[in-house]
Amino acid sequence: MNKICISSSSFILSKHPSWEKLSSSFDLNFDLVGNYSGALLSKNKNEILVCILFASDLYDENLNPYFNNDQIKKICDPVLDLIVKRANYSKQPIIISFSSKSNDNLIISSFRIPSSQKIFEYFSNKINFLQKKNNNIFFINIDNYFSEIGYSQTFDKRNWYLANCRITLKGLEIIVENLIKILNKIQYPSKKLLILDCDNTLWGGVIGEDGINSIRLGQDGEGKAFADFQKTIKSISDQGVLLAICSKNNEKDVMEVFNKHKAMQIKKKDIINFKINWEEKSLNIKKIANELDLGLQSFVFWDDNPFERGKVKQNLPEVLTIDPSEDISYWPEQLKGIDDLAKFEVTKEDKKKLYQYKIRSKFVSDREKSIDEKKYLKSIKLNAKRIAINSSNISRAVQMTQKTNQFNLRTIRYTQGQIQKINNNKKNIVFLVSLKDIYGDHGIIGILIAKRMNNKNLFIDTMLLSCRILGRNLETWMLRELMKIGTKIGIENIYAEYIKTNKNSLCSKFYSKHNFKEIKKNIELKKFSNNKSNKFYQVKIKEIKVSVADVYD
Amino acid sequence: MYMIEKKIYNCLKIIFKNNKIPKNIKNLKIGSFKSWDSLSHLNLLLTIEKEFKIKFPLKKIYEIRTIKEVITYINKK
Repeated sequence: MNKICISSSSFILSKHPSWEKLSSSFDLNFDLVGNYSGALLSKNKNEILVCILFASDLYDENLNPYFNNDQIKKICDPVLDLIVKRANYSKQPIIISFSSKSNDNLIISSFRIPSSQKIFEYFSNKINFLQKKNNNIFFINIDNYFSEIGYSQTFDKRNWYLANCRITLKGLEIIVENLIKILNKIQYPSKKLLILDCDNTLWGGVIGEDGINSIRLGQDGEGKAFADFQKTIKSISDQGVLLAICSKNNEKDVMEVFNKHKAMQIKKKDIINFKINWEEKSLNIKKIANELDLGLQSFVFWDDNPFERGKVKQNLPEVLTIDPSEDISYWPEQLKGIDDLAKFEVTKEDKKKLYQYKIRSKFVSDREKSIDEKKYLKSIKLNAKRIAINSSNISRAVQMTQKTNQFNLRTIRYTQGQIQKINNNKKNIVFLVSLKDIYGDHGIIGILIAKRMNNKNLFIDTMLLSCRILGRNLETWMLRELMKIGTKIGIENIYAEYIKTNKNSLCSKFYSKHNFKEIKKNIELKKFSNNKSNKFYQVKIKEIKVSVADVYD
Repeated sequence: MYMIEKKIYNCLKIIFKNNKIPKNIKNLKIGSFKSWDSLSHLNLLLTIEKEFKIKFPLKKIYEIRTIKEVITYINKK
């Protein structure tokens, strides 16, 4: 169970049963009331930190609610400094729930910006800036959620004078609810693929019966609602979520809409996989999973028809099947509200993903046709490059260590700070790998970290590759690059380790294939790996077998 | 049991989950259970407020120490 320390600027009803929703899945500890600074300075590296901050606790709102910018800085900077310190000290998430609500006088506020608003702007801007460097800071503007039911329901001055508590029970429930959403998101991976039905989902009416000129899409009323729903889908796909179509129709009819209907917001190129036929949807969804090599648990299924949904729910419980509201007006909101689809950070690589998955499926089918593999790999004009880590690609480096499971020899998860530190040590050999071929630019898809044990020996700390480019001998090319660099600086031996996980059996033979010999763990290795019962390897740098990397010459 | 008492009984059950709540709740007060300290008392009153959609004024809330006093206050309303 993950440990969470909850701190706050005023009392948050710590013993109230509302907190049980969180304590059932996390080990909760409440810091003393008001001791958020102590919590942020805590020496405990391993706990998730939650800071519930009310701006009105940071100054006396009864005195002067109209501060100038300097005063705002003085109020916010001490807290922000503590957040930076914590973010640098621990890779564990820091979740800040922030409220800047205060009682502002309408008349005065109409010609002066109230402090609450200035504080919010200053604070959130600074946090936003920090988030660019630290991916473990999460910010909840809780006022947004309080305002849904109103401040009169969520704040209570009586509770303030009674118990130093700003909020009502309802307010507390909202805070807890939002924390759960963020914490779950931190714990569980996000959904990758949204599978959509067509008739009465992407447009109103049945294409096979109504025809392209009569379906409702783009016109006023319902037609506009469907077009807006499509826009929402499009925006989600821009964030890196893949789209697939699974509909019981004649393929010709649906394709006609995709090709010809002017109001279609989603284009054919946005869809990674079409399954338009009369087979069971659950069968089709399974096929999609196979073809894209994605797990069913990363799928979301959206269909207006409860019968189809029911069957998918029963046959494929791993898939998240959504029950859309009866009224399509609410669909865009509902779709945006699927937290599993939302991402914390969209990297450039995410945006390229659709294109890359498409490249992959084309590569797989082309490869099947090819008889002579080496000849084939030569023909696709592979072009790999070593890239040094810098500020523009470090978040990608971190993302790869965090997310790559299948081709990952040790599966060590790193934070940005840790990568930075390893990279700054000039004795280590660290490089990213990018790849181009005739199928396109795959971007940065691998990383290798070799730590220096001493003048003559290296230990491969991290070696991973995105699985979508496997089958191109790129892993061998990476070893060959390591050989080149190592030889130049006088390295004689390379040590390595394979740490087995549930997901990386794919690369269990990687080192032996390249002529590494299994060895027993020795004292030297202990400094680099504190795992028991794993496989260690050693090879003389000259003896690594890398001939299959020839396809890159 | 009256409606009011039944509702309060449910609130007690929420806050003092680990205790057996007697049928007659009128005589219960701060200290009746080991865990009924001032913090739990506050939680209880807030939960009762939410249940009855009422609000004890600041002055009054300090005076309320027993369930009997809660019932009297709600009846007056």
